[in-house]
Amino acid sequence: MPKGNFLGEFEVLVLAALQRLEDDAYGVTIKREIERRAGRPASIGAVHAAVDRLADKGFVIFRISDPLPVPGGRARKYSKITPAGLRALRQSTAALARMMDGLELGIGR
Amino acid sequence: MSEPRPPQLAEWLVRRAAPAADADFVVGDLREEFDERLASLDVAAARRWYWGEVLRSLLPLAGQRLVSAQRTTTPPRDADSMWTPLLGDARHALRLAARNPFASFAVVATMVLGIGSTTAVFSAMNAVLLKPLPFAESMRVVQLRAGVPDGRIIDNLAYPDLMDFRRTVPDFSDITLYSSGDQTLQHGDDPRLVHTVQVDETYARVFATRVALGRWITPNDRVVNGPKVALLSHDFWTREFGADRTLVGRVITLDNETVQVIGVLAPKAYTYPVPAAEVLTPLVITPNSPMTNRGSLWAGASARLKSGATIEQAKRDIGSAARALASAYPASNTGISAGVIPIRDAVVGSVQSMLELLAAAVGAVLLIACVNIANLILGRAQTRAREFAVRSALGGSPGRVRGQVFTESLVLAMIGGVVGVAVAPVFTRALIAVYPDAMPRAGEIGVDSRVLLVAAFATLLAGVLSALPTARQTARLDLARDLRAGGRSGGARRDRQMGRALIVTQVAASLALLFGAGLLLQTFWRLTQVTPGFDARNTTAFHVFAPAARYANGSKVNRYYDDAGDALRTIPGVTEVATGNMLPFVGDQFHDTYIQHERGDQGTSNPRAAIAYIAPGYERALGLPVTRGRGFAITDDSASEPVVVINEALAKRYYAETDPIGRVIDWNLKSWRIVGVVATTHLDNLWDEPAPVLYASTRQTPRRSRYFIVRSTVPPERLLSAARVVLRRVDATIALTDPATMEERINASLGAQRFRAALMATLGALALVLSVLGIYGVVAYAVSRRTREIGIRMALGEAAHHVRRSVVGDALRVACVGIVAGVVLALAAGKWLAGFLIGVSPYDARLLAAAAALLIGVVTVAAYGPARRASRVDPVDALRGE
Repeated sequence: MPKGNFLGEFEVLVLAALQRLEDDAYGVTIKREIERRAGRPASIGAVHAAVDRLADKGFVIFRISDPLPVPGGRARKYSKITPAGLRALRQSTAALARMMDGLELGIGR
Repeated sequence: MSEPRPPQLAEWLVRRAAPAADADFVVGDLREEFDERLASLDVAAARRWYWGEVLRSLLPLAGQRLVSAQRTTTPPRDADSMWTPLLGDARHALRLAARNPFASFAVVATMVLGIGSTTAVFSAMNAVLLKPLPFAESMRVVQLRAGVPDGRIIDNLAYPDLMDFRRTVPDFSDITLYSSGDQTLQHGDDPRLVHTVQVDETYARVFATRVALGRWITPNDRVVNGPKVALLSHDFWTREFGADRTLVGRVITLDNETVQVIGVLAPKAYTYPVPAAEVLTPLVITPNSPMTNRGSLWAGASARLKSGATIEQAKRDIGSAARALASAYPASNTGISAGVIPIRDAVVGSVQSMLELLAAAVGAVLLIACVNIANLILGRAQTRAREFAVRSALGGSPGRVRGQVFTESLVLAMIGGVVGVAVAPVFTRALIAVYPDAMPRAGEIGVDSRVLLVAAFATLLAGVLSALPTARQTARLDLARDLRAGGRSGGARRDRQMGRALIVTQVAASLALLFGAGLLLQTFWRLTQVTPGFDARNTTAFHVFAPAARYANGSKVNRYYDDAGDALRTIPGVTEVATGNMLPFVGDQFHDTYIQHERGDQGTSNPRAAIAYIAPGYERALGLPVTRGRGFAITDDSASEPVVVINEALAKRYYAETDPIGRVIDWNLKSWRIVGVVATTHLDNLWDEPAPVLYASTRQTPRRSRYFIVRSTVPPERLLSAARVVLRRVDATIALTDPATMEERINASLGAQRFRAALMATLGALALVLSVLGIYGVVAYAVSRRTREIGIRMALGEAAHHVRRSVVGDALRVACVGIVAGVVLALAAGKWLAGFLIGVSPYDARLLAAAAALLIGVVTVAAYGPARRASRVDPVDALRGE
């Protein structure tokens, strides 16, 4: 397995969020999805930096929307997971699952 | 109302940090969340959230930006490398810093101090000196000034002269006249003093004054005996009247007169010459009164330049207009000149030199701090010489290795810079708090993009300066030697040179700072030794004003002051009470000329003196010795012969050969007999030559505005609260203002000297401490590098005290070079400080010698510790260590 396919923890969260959000994944929604489901804070800047990094690896592609139909409306940068991204996500989570298999992390032993 | 916007500075920051292609999207996303939060939070909370989000975003975005910038310029060397060399270096630097927490903390703390204080001082300079005054096209507004025959320049001009300038000086679109003063407002329970400026209708055009409510002043408001009207400042209207919109058209009571409020100024409207005047009233000119005399300089005036006109041209034109007036009216205008200065210079005045002094001193401290950091980094690099050598051997180009050194230093500087900017407002607030008087424009001080730019520049400079010696050294790596030596020796000669340069720099800069601090401390100390000429202990003074609406004539005014004085004497512990319109160390004096009866009219060389109107008992209350004749008595009243008292300075100047007692002078349309001479007192400060003073009695010439002087054994606070109670019983509508003991007033007059001395002493001490640390570091490092040599010498029988002496002697020899350089620097600093010195020579050799001796002592102490350690080197250990 090439080294470049390793994903950081945050990158795993971002890719998972992209998969969940399908066509509605842009900065605000990705951030919210991670905060809601993973229960960890994510800043807009960190989200953007992470998707850019994932795009560099070929795991994410972008689509720029038309400006929203309101005065001062802005364009959004939507992210979508690529097949390679999906593969990397599977590998990472599978590796994690194998590592955790049979491991007990109980409290108060 | 427009939608609340996110904090612009935060938005600007995030835009700069994000990769260019992403900036719009990031800002858009942030805006979207911000807008949603506005629905549930208040604006302040939403803005706080925005700032937090931006601060959390900066680092990831900046990292990504660096990566994408790198990607577009150079293709990655291999597909795996995600981090560019720069980021790698930065991470490496952070890891190193974390591994060496104490040294890193020292570096960052020094940077925080240096950059924080530099940023604080610059943000003050930026607001006070660089930004234009806060009203439209303020750079085109000038203040008019007059030069008077005794050489002084004053801010007031004569009304008829100003009317002539309006016609004859072509450079101004408007000249406005004003006069400022205090009035008593009766509103609510306690009467209180408000700052008032009397203005004419052109004032609004010159100062771009806007009215939020009601109307501006018209010429009709300025007719003699017309109805009284006033405008209130927005702030005052809000504070005192709860922003009541129905107030316009109603009346308020100022100085016991009913005044109709015609309007409220726009929020933050600029007022001049009082920066935050509460009330503006129309300036009413009474014809054929002292106001309309050509010789009487009372009106403040400012003007707006026409488009195309320059200040230089205006100076020339108004100067020649004043000369024309002097030849047309020689009796009143001989020797009176006129000029203009930019209004900002008039406002900022003496702060400029103070801030420049501060900037230079802080700059010197920053330099010393950088030298220390450079030394620390250099020391650390030496122990890592092997690491650098390995990197080079593995193909790291000298440029890459140097780049790493700079990155490491810049990372630490950046941390220091960010924290420094964050703490800068704390420094600024401390600076404003200890600043004597009110710093002009203090409210405008803050961090804006210009301040951030300077802070960034200081950070960059500090980072680069600190890394420079190390980078120079690594550029001359000797691979074979460094690999072999593994950080034990090598480059000894270059090391020593670098260490010497650091010591010389620190000693020189510290000497200059210490010498400057010494000069200013000596000035301050000398002034505290000057006696003011009266007994300032146990005296408290405060101001009251008996308005014409309640006390129509002089005898009624005097009756009020008699009753009030009697009431004050009933307070237990009060021994003397008196009044006077002029006190030493209070406000300005009024000067006038008179004729010595026996010499006749001498024209322009008639005697001139400050005039004070005082009540009987003044000299006892103030502790002012009567040296000849007598003070005023109660029997010197309007029915008896007019009498005056003079001070010794006046007696010495105009009655050098004769006894002044019994002499007669002609003044104020009457003849007056001199009945006494009192000691000379300083009037404004302790350093100017005390002026001649002519005292007249308030029994013969009553004054409405006076200070009470109370000599008592009661603590000042208790005395003042008791005074308020008893004075309210005499007349509850009169306010007691400007209370302070005479000692406090004298102290306040030394504020600028104390501030400068304390500031320089603090910075000098800081420089000294930093230098001790730095020199200790250099010597200790040099000694550790010479362990082997010292071990051999001791093995060959050299005595321990010889070793100690040679180590300390080496340091001292280098320090002497620093002292020579420092003397040159100190003399330059002294020359620059000369304007701040009183009775102290800027070339004070003894002080210079003392500062040099202090530094020699400091260097000796700093070098002695490492020297002791060197002398205890065990030769066996030292050699085995190889």
